[in-house]
Amino acid sequence: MKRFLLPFILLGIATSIFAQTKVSSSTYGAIEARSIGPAVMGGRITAIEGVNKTPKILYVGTAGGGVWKSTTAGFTFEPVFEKYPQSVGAIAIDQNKPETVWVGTGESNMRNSVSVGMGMYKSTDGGKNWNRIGLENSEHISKIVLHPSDGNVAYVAVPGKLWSDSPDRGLYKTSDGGKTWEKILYTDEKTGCADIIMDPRNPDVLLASMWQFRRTPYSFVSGGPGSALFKSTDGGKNWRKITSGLPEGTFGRIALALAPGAPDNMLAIVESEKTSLLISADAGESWKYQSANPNVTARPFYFSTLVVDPKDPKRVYRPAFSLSISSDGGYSFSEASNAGGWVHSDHHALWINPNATNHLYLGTDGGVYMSLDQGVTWTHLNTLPVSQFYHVQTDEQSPYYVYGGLQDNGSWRGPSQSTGGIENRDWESVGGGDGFWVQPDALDPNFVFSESQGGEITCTNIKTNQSQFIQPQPLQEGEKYRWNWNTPIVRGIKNPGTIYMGAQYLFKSGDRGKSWQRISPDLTTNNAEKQKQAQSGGVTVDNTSAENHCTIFSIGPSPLDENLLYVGTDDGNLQVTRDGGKTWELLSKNITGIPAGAWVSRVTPGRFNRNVVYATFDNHAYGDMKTYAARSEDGGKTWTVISNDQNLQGFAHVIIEDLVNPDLLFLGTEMGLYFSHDAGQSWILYKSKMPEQVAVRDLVIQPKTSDLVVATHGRGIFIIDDISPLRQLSAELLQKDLAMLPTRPTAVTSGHYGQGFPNTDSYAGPNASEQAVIQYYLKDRMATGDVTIDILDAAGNKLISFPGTKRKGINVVRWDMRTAPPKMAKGVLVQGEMGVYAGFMGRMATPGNYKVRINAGKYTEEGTLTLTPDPLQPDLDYAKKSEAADRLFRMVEDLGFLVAQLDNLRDSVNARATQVKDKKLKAKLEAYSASIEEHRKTLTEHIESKGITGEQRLRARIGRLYVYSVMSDDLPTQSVMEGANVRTEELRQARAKADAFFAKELTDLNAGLKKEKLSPLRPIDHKEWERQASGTAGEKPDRPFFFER
Amino acid sequence: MKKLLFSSAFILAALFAQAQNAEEIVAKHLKAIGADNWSKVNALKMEAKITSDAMAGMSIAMSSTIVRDKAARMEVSVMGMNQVTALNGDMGWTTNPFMGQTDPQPLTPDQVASMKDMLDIDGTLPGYKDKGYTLEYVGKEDVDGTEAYKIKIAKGKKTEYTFIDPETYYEIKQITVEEVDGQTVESASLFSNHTKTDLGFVYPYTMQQESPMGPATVTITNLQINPTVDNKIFEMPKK
Repeated sequence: MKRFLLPFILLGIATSIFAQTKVSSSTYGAIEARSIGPAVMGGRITAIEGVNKTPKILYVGTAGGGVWKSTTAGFTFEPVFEKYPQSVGAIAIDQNKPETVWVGTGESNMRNSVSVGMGMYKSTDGGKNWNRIGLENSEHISKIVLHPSDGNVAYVAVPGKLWSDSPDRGLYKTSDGGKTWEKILYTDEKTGCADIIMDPRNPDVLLASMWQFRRTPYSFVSGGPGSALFKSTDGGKNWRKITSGLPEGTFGRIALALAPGAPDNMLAIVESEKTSLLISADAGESWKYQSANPNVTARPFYFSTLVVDPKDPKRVYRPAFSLSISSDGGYSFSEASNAGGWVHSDHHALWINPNATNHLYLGTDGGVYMSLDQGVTWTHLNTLPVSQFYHVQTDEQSPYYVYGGLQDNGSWRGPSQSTGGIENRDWESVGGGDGFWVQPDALDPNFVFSESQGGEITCTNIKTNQSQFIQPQPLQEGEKYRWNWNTPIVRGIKNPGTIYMGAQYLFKSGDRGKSWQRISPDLTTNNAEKQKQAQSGGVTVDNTSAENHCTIFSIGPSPLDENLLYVGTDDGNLQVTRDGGKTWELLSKNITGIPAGAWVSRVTPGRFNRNVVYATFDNHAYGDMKTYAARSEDGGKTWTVISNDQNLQGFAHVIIEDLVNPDLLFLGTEMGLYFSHDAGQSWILYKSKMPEQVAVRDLVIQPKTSDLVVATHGRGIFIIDDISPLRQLSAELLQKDLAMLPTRPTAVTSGHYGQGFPNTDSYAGPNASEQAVIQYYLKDRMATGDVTIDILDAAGNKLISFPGTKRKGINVVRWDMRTAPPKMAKGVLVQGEMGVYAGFMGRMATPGNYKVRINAGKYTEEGTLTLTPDPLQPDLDYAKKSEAADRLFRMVEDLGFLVAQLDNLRDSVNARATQVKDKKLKAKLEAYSASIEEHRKTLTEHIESKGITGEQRLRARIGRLYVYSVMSDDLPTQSVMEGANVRTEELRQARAKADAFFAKELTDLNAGLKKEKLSPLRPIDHKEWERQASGTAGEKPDRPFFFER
Repeated sequence: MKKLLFSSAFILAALFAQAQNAEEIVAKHLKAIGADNWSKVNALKMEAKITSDAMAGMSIAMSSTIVRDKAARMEVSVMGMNQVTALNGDMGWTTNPFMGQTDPQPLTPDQVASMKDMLDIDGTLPGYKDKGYTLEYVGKEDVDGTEAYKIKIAKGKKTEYTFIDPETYYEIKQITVEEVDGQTVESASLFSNHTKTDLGFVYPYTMQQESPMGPATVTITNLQINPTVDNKIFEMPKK
């Protein structure tokens, strides 16, 4: 026994020596991101499932925004998948146990920008907690079908990896609720399972479609010998290939549907040279060709949804570009959305309420729509902030605007702060198509550069809403410019007013695109084999610019030198010019440890040292999902890979430097946002109020506010307000038990509130708090003792104290910039009378420097907090304002003291009245008490009633003036100050009357009491009152009190 | 020496690798808080102050008295007015003088049912088996920088999640999920300042609760164990 103990002790010592505090995700726990939307356009929806018995409960899966649950039929949603990959391919609800929900991650709408998943997840408590249950290497999952009576049996269709061969494809089955999986249908490493349907009468009857497909960076193939249709009648043990009635030749993707009301009736859309709709009346054994409109057969690799009404086997829905509806089993189709108003195009999901089949939910590339009339009219459920940004930029306005382009939803800008929250209506469209880079002109934010896919750049005047196409045009015969799907448009930093954009050449304009200068040769590999996009698509040609290749993908102008520019291409070239484009040098050959040919997703020249440059590399289009980032300190001659930290996940999109601390870096990958405090040696995942594995496509720091603005591809924009405390997290600081952290100055304001009705039916992103922020670092969570924060004025007088938080890491505590409220006279809270609320409101602090003291157990730290004048009140005389507030504050308290004296004395007199023997004295005491009470009742509201009494005494009349003065950011009105003069006189008279009581009559009574050997009565003094009014229940349990300072 | 260290590290790792099950964690928790001593407690009287970010510089006095399995009374004082909520066996009542309602009103059956949890003076976990609660270990989750054990407790209509600090085995957070009038109500509280009482059990003297107005902090200023209680305070006053 002893033998074992020693090493244990040694181990303990060893670990304690090496246990150095390091930054972790929880260090930033209190630095929370806020999601500002937008939800006005939503984003791609991939799955919608409802609970049949309780159809107001819905789960919505999205392309990059996780899973959202509604318990209100879609009026409100809540994200329930925050810790997991945000791309969702399929959802299934166990309808016998609706708290059990299965989610397959990685959508299967295999467009160029599609994200990836990490397998299957299951919740047994309605989405509160999830377990990962396998198929980890699937990357994409298209469908989950559950056995109708055995909740442990599930079939999962796995198309599998898009960019590489993979044995992890095919149709999978579990019979034990997801503990183990069996691959029950498999063709080869190029062919996955696209769809499966099950006969609800006989769950052993299955039909599955296999799909061969592949993307490269420069091509897409949907179709091949692997694509086929299979049937099983024994729960997937044996499969037969179905050919009867199917088209000749090679297939692409096959979508399947079955009529639950008559399950022998099946439909299929078979992608082939002549993509067509086929129907079967014999449970899939044989098929018949049906003519169908172009929407029914549109882009089968992208539109793979086909749904039959749960009750009516003749009613068929085909969501594709638009929604086609058949009421005769697929013989003829009409367009649904034409009559019923606009619905966003590109549909991928449809759920029909089985209890009321008029009631539909449609998932589009622009969010979820609901119909109550079988799809004739639609309403947009615009509370889902699942917009898919590619890039983000900010301007210099106050509040600043956020600009960005979105997949399938154009280009937008929205304010970082808006009265009542950042609502859908605050967002303005600044460009159409798919949106990518958006740049406000650095010299005049009324001009905005945006683009649609393939470099179709426009310059828009936001004031006049006029816009102009300004793309540089080829000047030589036969020449073609190759623009990436997501063509970079970047502003000069040292030379604001200049914009750059890249095809295979780099272009520069100093006059908002009216003229362009070509400043480079072809910077790509110009590989002809990678430029055959006209043949791309597979069995259906699909040349949308999504596969354009050998193009410039990133442009990095130096913040220190306008002639220093880096350019990265999608075919692996990283180039630099140091003379404004006259000469170029290829740098990628100098980099080891990064796969050759990887896209240079971003190149960021250093802002502190002109020889420093960072770059991220994205190799996912070759099937490699690893994170790659590198740093050079010699202008690109040699490079250090800075992405070896095991914390990192997901292919990299962007890296930026902090504006102040050169060691502080921010990295966005397909699987999250990461911070480094040591110039990239180690990375920490950021996850405070942001999904942990969300695609972070772009990052920018707004220089005035130090806000980090995060563009996600599926969850819209997040703002992390004021990152200045992160700049201080040095190794040295982390070892301190308690440390103050700086914050940006706060403008003195009591807040800006919205006029009008609150927003109830669309998403509203929260604003940054307008309160002052106090931030400090605790090495450990405070398990014992309390944290208190004292605010002191410049002279060291304590103005106010309040409790702080105790978390390990950075703590954020807000102060509304008010000092303690006045101790007000006791009385009734009269409904609707604002004067009686004076005792709840402190005075606003004035601009200046304040001392902040943090007391955390045995540790104390001090720092400074700066309050600045309200920019909306530039000429305000703060001294005058606070002088007025002080005066009214004293009046409230003077009356409070007076009423307390009367209250106390009355109670004491009443007590004595019960003790005295002399009846005359008793009568005198009672009369005296009554007169005190009479006086008191003129001073404070006292009528207890359930009604609205409108009672107003001196307390409310003074209180009102005080409330008026402390609720406004401006000086009190003349009327308030005149009122104060009158109330001062009233108060003086009330005091004089009371003092008269206390003097003469009391002396007489005390003489009487003395005879009876009872102690004399006297009004409480000011000190006693202060003690009483500040007492807590603990000190004076039987004596109700007001408020404590 | 090196070899020894390595092997012991290996043993330790193996020990930790064992699945932490909910019963084990809760057993350690109950030991850490001296839960056995709870049986000596028949009544508690607690006085506390509530402070909130939304109203900096103000504190509201609160007091509550609980008699095991029988009755409870809570009182909040603001501006000289006392708001009382009491539970007496199967009936409860409340006043709301802030809204002019000084006459006591009976609580609805739903409200009574929800409040009855308070009469379980020990809290949820001591004697959870006898109470018919079931536990499930959910995993580790960050609570203010501590990777705490998260345990789900099924209590019939209510579900609780408790978060246990793996170092001290104290409860540092609790989430309650409840269906009330067709709506799911969720509330979360953080516990700190765990202090050993004279009777030997450990009680958190500070609690932080999320509220729509921002976090509110409840700090206990006086905890009386087995005080003399006048049962009349639980009776609904007649007017």
